[in-house]
Amino acid sequence: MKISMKNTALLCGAGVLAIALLNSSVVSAQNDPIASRKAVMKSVGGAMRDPGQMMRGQAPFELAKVKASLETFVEASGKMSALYPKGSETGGETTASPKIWEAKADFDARLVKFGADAKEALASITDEASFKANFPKVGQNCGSCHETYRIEKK
Amino acid sequence: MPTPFGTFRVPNLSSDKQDGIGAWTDQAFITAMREGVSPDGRHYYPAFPFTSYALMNDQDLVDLLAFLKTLPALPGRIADHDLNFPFSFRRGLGLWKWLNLASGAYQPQTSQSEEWNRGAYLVNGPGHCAECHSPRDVMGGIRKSLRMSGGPDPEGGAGYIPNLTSHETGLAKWTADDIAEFLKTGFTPDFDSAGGSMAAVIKNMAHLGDADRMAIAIYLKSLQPLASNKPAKKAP
Repeated sequence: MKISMKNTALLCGAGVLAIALLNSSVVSAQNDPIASRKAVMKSVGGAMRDPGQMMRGQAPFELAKVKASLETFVEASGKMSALYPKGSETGGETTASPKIWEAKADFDARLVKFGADAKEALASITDEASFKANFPKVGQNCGSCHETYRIEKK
Repeated sequence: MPTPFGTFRVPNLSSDKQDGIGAWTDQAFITAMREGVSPDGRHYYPAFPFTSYALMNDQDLVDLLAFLKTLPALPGRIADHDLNFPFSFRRGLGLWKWLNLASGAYQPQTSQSEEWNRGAYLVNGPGHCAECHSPRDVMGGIRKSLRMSGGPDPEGGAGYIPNLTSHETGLAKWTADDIAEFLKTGFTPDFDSAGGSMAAVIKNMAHLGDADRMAIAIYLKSLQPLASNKPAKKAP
């Protein structure tokens, strides 16, 4: 299913490219906010893996990896708001809820909170005990925002 | 709650004696939850999942009502449902129940472990997982042969609710630990994070003890693998 989704994404991407070339315009990441925000979300999910496995005891605690993941969250939270411009509500198999555009200020505030929680964790996590105590608060931002602003895949 | 049958409006469950359930007896509550019948004798629509709650035992229902009665009393009644013809005829629900409602609280299967039975009870009774994770027939009854294999979003969204059986289109690659962790934190084995109604469900599931979440996982892993009935994606 993942492969077919990728293929579909590639096809959509190719279609966008073809139309853009016909219009003699330049295609950049800014012109495809859906693909860009998916890539940023993937980076967040990818960065959740190491600390997630450490939380579950499936991997040994490594402070450097935790910090790298938290840096990714801070960076992603800063980029995200601009990737939901008006006009990008549908298309590209987006699972963004229309509610994002109905309550953009709340959506943006949640992104700010996610970034702030990640920054706070960067400061407070110094060893395994402080990691186990402080990391879950960062991860809870995913679910609480997705509850309102993410819809089921078709 | 928008659905293919019309809009259901969700009533006052606070302890208000007039508008809520503050004056309800245990027996009235048990009848509502297990038989889908109100204290004044009307059928409830199955958007209220009494077909699942039918399996709940007396003690759990009495405890649940006792808890609800501790909630603040908030006055106010909401408007009635706004349903499409012919679903607007409430009396037709008698027939629907004859087709779809099995009565009797959950009976443990002696061939299975205590943990499995606990999981079966939680999943099929109070958890009412199958209510969203199954396809439905034209009358809104769960298609029993495809139970738990996922289904179109019953709340009217365009999405498809995932298959919970251990088929490759479902949870085949998930271990019981993966399922238990997911129900606690909302993260899948790929560290994707659940959205929509499931995120709300996980907030509740996170209140369970680890043993209950593991019992649910053990039971789900025991389900017979069924292919998802999800329609193939159309070419773009």
